[in-house]
Amino acid sequence: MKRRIFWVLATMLLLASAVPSMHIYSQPLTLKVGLYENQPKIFTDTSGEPSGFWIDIIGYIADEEDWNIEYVPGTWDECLQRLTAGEIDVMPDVAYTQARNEIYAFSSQSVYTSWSTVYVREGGGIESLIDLEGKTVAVLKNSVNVEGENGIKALVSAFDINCTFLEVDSYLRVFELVQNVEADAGVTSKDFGYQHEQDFGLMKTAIIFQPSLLYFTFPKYSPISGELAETIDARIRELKLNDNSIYYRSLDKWFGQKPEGAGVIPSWVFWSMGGVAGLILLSAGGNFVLKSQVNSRTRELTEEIGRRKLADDELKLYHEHLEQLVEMRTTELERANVNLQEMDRLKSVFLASMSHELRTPLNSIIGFTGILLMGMPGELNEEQNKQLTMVKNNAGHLLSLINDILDISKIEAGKVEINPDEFRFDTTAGEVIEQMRPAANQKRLAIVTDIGENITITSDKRRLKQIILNLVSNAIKFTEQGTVTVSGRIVDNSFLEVKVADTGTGIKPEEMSKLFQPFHQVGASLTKKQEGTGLGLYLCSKLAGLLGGNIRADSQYGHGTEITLTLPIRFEEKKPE
Amino acid sequence: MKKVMVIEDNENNMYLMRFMLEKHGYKVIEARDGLTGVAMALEQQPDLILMDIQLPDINGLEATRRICKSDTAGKIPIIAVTSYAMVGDREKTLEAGCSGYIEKPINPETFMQELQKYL
Repeated sequence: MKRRIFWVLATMLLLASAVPSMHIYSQPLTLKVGLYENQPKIFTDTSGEPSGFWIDIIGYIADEEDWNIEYVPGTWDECLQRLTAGEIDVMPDVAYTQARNEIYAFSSQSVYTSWSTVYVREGGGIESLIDLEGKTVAVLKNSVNVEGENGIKALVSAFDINCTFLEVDSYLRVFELVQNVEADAGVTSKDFGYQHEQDFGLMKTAIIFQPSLLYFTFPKYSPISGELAETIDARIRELKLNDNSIYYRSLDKWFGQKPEGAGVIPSWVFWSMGGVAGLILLSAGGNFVLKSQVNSRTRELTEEIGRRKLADDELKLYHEHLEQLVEMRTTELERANVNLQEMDRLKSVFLASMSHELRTPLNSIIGFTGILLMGMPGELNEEQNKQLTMVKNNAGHLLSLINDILDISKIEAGKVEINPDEFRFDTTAGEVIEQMRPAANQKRLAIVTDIGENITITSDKRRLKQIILNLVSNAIKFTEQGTVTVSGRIVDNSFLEVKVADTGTGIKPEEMSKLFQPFHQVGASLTKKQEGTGLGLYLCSKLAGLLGGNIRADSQYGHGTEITLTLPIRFEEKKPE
Repeated sequence: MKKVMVIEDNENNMYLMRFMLEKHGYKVIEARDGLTGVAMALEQQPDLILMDIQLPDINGLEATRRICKSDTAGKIPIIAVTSYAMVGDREKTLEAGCSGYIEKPINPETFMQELQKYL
């Protein structure tokens, strides 16, 4: 049990420790950026320099922000591993998935939209998904189009198709395997395929899947990731707003046109084609102008349709992304809620354990002191009796402190139940006063009562008694001579007003505001201190609040204090909102 | 001479209760864990059982349920004597079959009077 308390405390301390703040721009920043081969998006060009769409964007942002960039080349899989390990600061071209969001930090601005396509050799006999049955498919290891929830593996398994996957390190290798008949089909991103299908003599199939938004990503636990993401997001937002920005120029440069297959067509073909064209020109005569106009219009319309289709696709993707985000946030909130419930449970366990652990030794102390004082084991002499009475009183005091602390903890944890009941207030107050009379007599103080007859109220009797007991006991404690007056009356036919007044030391005006704060004792100093923890009034005000009422204090320093408790005579439970 | 059985794992508390009970003329049967307590209750048929709730093996609530279910000891009054004082603890002991509930630390001045209601 002791060990358990230790762990509960340790957990609470850990949870309370603060997250350190960060400063990333205090010195020139060198960013390590992951680089892999996926032309034209990101790749190493023939002169060995990083190139492609993503390189344009990050290069531009780095220039603007005065960052140095160190590219760290590797396969896709290696890049992702480095990102996980925090060995690189930024990884471009990462498709969003929920699973990835658990391990990487994503920028919130998407940079590019892509999807994946299955490519085959011409005449390979594969046209649609079901044709993949029994075939070997080359894929990029750890890519979202392989492992993602809409990836090729999920796709074939949804259709109960059995095929073998060859996982390789780059899209180039994927196409090589298909070209060399080591694989029947290969999966690549649309842009890679578009650019390279001719070089490898491959063609795309109707199997198009995994539309995804691509982002910059950052290591999840790096202290600079948050600020990096914010800066990059702001830059991309700015770039997207400007039609002439590097963003649109680079999109156009890398994806706008299909590159010519240089050297594939010998020059004589052009010459002879030129000759033929000349003949046609001559024979077609005036028809040419008309035809070219029709063609130009058709081209325009086709382009327009293409553009609209793209916009529509983009919109769908955004919609999907939004849904993913909502789902993600919901999951996060659910998880946070579970954590809170767990903390709450730990607190209850802690309270129950503490209560038990503290009461067990007190049982022996109070029990044995009691039977000794009762003379059960034998007669005591006067001095023994006096000293044991001190032990008994102090043990009783310790017990009431433990009870106060537990009560406050329970109230703060919302674990106090109010049990309303109809009862006679005058009778209840009388019981409390009788209970306190011995203590008053000991200090030669008179308790005067002025309580109306037949006051019936509906409230929690036990809690009301606890409040009044606390107030009267306080009044006695802080009064050296004179009287303690307890009065009670009904106000406006709806409130019970109880006043406990004393002729004691009173409270200095500057102390009044601290009166109902926990662990604060008015007039306390290191040399002279009244008994108590300073929890009594705090507990009373909490309890009064639970009963739907309030408590306030009036005092004249040197002349006495009057505490007023106001409660509704009919306790009404607060309806949960 | 009436027999009171005390099921309690804390030696000091056991001593305290035995002392008071014997002073008042009762025979005391001791058990220090739940299973022993259940077995001895069935065998020795005490007139009253004082049950601690936190015990080393089965807890007092479970021990109470087992005793209450038995044919031989089902009618013996059981009083929970426990230092758990959270909301609902009293209700839990009564649900399990206890006839009474005394919170620890016990008050020696009123403890015996409380017990005598059941003897």
